[in-house]
Amino acid sequence: MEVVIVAIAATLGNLLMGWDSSTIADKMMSSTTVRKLQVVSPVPVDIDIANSVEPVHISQIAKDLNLSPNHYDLYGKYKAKVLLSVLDELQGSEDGYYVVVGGITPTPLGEGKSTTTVGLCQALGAFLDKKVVTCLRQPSQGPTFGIKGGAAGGGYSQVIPMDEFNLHLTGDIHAITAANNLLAAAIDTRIFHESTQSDKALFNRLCPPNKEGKRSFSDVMFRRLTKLGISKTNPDDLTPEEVNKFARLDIDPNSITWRRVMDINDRFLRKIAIGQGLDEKGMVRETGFDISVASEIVAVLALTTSLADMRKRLGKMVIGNTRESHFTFCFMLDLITEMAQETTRALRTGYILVYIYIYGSTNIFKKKTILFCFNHLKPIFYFCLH
Amino acid sequence: MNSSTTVRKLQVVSPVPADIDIANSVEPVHISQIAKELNLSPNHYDLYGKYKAKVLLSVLDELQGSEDGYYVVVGGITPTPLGEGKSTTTVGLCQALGAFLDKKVVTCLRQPSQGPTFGIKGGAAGGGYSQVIPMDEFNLHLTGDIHAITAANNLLAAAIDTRIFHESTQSDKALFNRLCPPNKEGKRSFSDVMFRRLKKLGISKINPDDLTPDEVNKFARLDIDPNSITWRRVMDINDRFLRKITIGQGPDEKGMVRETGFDISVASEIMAVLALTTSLADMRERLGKMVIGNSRSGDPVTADDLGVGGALTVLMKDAIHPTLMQTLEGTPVLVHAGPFANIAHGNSSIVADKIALKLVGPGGFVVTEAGFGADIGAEKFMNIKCRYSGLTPQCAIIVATIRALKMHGGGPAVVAGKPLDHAYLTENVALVEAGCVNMARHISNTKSYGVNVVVAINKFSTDTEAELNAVQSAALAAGAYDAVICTHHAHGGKGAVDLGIAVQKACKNVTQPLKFLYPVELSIKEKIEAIAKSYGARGVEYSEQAEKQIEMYSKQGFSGLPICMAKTQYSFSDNAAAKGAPSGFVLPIRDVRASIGAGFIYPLVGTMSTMPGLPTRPCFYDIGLDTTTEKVIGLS
Repeated sequence: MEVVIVAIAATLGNLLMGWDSSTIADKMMSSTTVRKLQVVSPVPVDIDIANSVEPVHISQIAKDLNLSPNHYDLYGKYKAKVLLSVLDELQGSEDGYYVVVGGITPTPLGEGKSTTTVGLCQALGAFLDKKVVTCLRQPSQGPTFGIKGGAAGGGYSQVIPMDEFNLHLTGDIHAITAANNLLAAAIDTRIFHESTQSDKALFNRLCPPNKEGKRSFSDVMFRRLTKLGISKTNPDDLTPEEVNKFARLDIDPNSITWRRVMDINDRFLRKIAIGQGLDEKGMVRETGFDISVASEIVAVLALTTSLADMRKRLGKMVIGNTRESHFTFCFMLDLITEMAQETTRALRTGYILVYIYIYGSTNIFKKKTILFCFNHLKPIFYFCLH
Repeated sequence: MNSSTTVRKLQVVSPVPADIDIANSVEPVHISQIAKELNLSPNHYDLYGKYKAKVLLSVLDELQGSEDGYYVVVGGITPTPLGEGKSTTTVGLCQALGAFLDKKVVTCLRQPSQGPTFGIKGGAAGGGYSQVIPMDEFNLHLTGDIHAITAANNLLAAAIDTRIFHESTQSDKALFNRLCPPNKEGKRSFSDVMFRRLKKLGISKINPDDLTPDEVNKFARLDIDPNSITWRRVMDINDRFLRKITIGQGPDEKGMVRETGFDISVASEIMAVLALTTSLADMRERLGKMVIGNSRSGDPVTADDLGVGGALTVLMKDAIHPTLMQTLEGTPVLVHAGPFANIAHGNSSIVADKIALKLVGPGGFVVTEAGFGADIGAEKFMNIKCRYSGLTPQCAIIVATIRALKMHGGGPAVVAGKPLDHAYLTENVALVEAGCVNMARHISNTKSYGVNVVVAINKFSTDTEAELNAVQSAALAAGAYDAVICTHHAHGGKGAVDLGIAVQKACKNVTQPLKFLYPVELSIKEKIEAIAKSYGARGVEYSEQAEKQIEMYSKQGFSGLPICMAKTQYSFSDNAAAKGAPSGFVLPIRDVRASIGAGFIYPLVGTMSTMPGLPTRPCFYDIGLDTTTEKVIGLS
């Protein structure tokens, strides 16, 4: 799989590298995270190498980057989420150099791009005295239990702790799974409710009167009203035709492209039929599950530039069409903010500081490598055009 | 505690604002301060952001010589659909004990499922001025435990279908070659988890090449009967369209179509394992023992048979540590596990309670909540949780409301989402008194375990003095140790000070040992009947399916497990409309299932839904995020 360095991660990484070189040299010299390591031959298996090195507490790694505790949240002893607020603090700084690692057309065994990425950064940081951050994708959890192979590099060039890198990490993929599946549930449920209720009943439930008998639109509903060209702010002012347009999305089930996801390899969910319970009144539909990293929400996370931008991108996701062949934007389902909320945790930082195993020989003192691992995921472009 | 820098007393306003507004008006203390107040060393917890930490089980080793504090369980009378405020009372009592009565206290709560937060209003962090904060972090993700359970559950589900598929397309020899492939030197070996299956089969060989063809067949073929599979996939989102699905319809799956469905994640047996386990090693054993179905010859097939027990443990290794949070008034809270209270036992975890009891020490208090009414949550707390933990509670609180008692006295039906009937908003002492039979039975049942029972009357603005006094008198007459009127929703800990005082006295004056309702040595039926008797049933009748299941579990050697009754929470009986204290009815057991790894048999009384749906206007319409401040808006 290609290594993609995404703008937001690289920008942050580069900003952090843009400090005065004399200060850098001083800080590197006083580093408390360096140690001497022994390599053996033949090379042991990855997990044994990873387990033979005690990681440094991640707050030390952050300190060496001059990252203030206000700008990161610890997640245990060896992981931290870097908050986007650090971009505001460093916006006057210049960027560092930006390098992308690609490869020739690979064999099924892979050609070692992740290992090279990590190895290069260990060289730059530990042997060449440079400020360096590595930005990597978070691996999917499913393959870890399917076929051998994580994505933390290999041999003496790895991200540690290896098990935390390959499982859960800080829960970003779990958040994506929940957000994706909330949208999927909303689609089928909305079709169901529209099929069993009149315009008036739908509208009564979407805008129920409060204790004083007054109705109101929620914030997210104004997006749909704007799209429909309705500028009224009081629900009671809508005409019956406007009520119909507002309350009925009229989704064409055959046009739905949004699938559910899970982060487990499960071929039996590739093609399924849903809605077979008696209470679902015959609304059976064929669909399937993708693995979570195939969700459009992962691509949104990888390509977004800020929290406000993410909010917009999530709202614009197209899940299918109306029967009139217009696009049904996600915000017609009004799910935007919930997904922003679900994913905000993931975005609170796309970055995680992880201590890296340092290659070193017995008789040479090597400076530490600082790896800055971006847990954002490969962007997957999802086209809903027919 | 007088030198405490984390406990504070709230300034309250009237009328009580929305829960999210109260929660947002209080700045939480950094969780490391809460940990410090508990004398928790940084070695024994991991920070997860600024306001959450996972308390590591290693603290139990350090404190194993300490004595435990007092152990209090909060249950309730049979509830209305609106709930009677057990979570709010649990939190309010702890705020009272910690902030007003200067006691060491820890609250142990279940982690709420995420799905309902986006479906129908209502989190589980308490309410009003008695809440766990930050509220949004409590109701969403928390520290990822439910996500881990979802992943582990679904890994096992995938392993089941995939194994059936591979067995259907390969010979014994091919299966065996793939299960025990030769390494670079041509030598085969069994992985650790395989030795469990070999032992179960009575094969003591350690070299794969030594197995006879017959042994290879037995080892490599689980021969799972697809119709017997009880394991379902889960997700933590309300999605009714996944209740019943057909899987395996892809062309590559070669026609292996099967009907199944999704439950909500907290209904997974893995959640019950997490709640009932006592250590990492114990969790490993329980996960491996989970039964997913039977072989065609009727033998139970376990997670270890599928080879996945160790992997499940890896996925769950961080989830076993409870999450430390705080109340509005700065008292510590451990949030851990949240099994369903019908098909599972509806209580938070044993490990959190054990840690808390050590941390508070002698004279301190641990307060935990049991789901639904005391006939369900508190019964399972006593007969299942305490049996496995070996812990002994001193006091049980029963939360009662005038509203619910009027319902039990013959008031009109209470429907969630509909305005309350006039009868519930005006004084009617006779109606309240008529409903006290429900509370009286709960008091009597709970006292039989040997604990002192304190009734907490959760006061609403529409309750009158005469009504409240009537309940107090009825509770004392029914044998409660004390009965206290509480206003913690409106006043925070201050509103539960009298309850705190009553609980202290109740804990210090226990005179009887803990006594279970039944010994586990009884047969499955005898245990079911003991529980049914506590409901007021005249007898029990078993469907043909239930009889068959009981016979199967007994033959498979599982009859020594405790019983976890899956019954409606709205009545002592199987009929949700039978309010008050119904008696003389026959309890119908429709089916019997088992969670062998978690360690209980669960009879089904009526139909239990394990996957909720979304209404026409789910409350996600109101949930939003201020993208400038990152504050969550609209959670309720």
